[in-house]
Amino acid sequence: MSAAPVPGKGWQPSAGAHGEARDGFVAAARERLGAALVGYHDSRDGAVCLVTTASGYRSAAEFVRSQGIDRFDFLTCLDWPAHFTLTLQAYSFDTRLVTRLSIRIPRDGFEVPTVTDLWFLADWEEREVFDLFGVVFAGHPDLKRILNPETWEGHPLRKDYVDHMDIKRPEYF
Amino acid sequence: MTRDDLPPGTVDTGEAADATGAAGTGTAPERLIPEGEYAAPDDVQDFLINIGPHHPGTHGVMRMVTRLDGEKVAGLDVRIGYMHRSLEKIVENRSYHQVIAFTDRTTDYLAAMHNDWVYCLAAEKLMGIEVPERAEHLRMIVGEINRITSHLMSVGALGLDSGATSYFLWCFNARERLVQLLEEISGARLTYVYLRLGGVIYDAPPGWTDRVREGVRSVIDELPSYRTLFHDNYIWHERSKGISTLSPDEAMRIGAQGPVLRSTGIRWDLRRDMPYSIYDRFDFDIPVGTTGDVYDRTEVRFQEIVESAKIIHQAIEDMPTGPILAKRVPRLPTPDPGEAYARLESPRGEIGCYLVSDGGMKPYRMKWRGASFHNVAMLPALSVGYTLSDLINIVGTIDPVMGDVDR
Repeated sequence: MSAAPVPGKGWQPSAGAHGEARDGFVAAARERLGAALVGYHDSRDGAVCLVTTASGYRSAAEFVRSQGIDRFDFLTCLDWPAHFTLTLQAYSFDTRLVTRLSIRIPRDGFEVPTVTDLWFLADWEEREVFDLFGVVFAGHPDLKRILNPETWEGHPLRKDYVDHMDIKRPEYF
Repeated sequence: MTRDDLPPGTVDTGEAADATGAAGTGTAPERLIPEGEYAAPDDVQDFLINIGPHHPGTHGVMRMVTRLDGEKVAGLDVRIGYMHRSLEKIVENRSYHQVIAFTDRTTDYLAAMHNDWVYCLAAEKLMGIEVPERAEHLRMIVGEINRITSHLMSVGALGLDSGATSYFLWCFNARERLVQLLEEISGARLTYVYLRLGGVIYDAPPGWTDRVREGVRSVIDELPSYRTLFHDNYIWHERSKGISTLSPDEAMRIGAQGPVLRSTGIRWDLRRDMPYSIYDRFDFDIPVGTTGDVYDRTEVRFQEIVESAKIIHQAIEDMPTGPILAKRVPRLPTPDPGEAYARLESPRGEIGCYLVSDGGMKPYRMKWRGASFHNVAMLPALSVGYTLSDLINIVGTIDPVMGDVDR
């Protein structure tokens, strides 16, 4: 189990892949988000990744939405040993600019503001993250488990989740 | 036991009528339940009707708790998760090659090629693998054949939902011929596991491309008769036109995708607009509708069959010789730490795969962006205000595959 991912060997930043749309977006992000913007980079799949502070998540999401990034891709969580990384991805219908917004949050006891009013599809995605990781979204209209039964205990996609009903299976590696 | 053993009154022997001399005069039989006792009170407006999880109209194990005002759907609460198998957790304990066997079973099994494909695209981006030219063509041919089989299944099942049983069987007949072609090249009929990281596993058997041409041609030649039977049928028009209309703005607001988005008139197809693989080399149209109703969504799917056939013919035409699998793909890949996302236009909309590596031999995390998951999420927005019988058709037009919803 290693630390959060860094761009590896052979990786080339694809600055300018989206041309002016990408540069303008990054410049606007630096101006509008200010200190909330921890960093940004171009992912190896061509997405512009913004990393913001946890408290700046909501304003960053509002900024992304205001830039015409209207097509919601996914919202998910990564369980690193010391923290969660919450990642939201959306892309623009007009400029095809793909944006990935990440925040680092503590594994427990942190409430993330909801973005269901910005993207319709975030509703079920936030319920899924709540169900599988236990991240609470403040302001969500109907935050309850979605894939697991409501009586389920624990959050299965956490790395420390133990299923007590699981049978012993061989270790492949 | 004879009729005489049954309690009196349960068998209509005609004796009572004879005794009163009222035989054949149409007198109503005596009511066993006094009138008024079981009638609903006047102040009750809404009924809760539960549909599913096991119901033919839900196309899988989906539960729809429906609030009805008369016959109209006033509210809809969709409950999912009855087929949750935790694909994303399983994947965290498998090597990158082993995942392919899960992505076509646990997700959208009616378009298994596309699901394998999007995983392979993500993993290839993560590892920087170049796919050989011939493999790209083979992927495209099998992918488009699979799109045709999926669309035939979709429109056929819609016919079944609305009472056109023979149309369903016609579609299945055509689908069978194409599934046999996929079986010839991959060895399987539904869950193919044909794609590999860096290419495909088998080359086309001798004469396969000719049989693909013939098979696809025979299906396309039959489509006019399908149109006569079902799509131009007066009953189908009455059942579908003006039902669940969707405006382009509303479609964008609820994040509609795939045929549902295109039926509103928005010409958006990832194959053309954010091309992956080698789609940018081929010439095909994107069918769109105008009103986004049930009829248009079906039409878009039906016309896409022809466009897929065009792509198949072009891909066979251009297919080069050469290797079908990239060289030097490790048996146990350990990609550099990082993340990659790939998206693809599946028959049901945009599917995506987000892969995160921590440098180990197993994916640290895989997030599956299923098209059906998001389609089902917008189901209440599409169906409130229409009748219960329309709801079944609306579910058919978003074409949910519960494997993709529950994962």
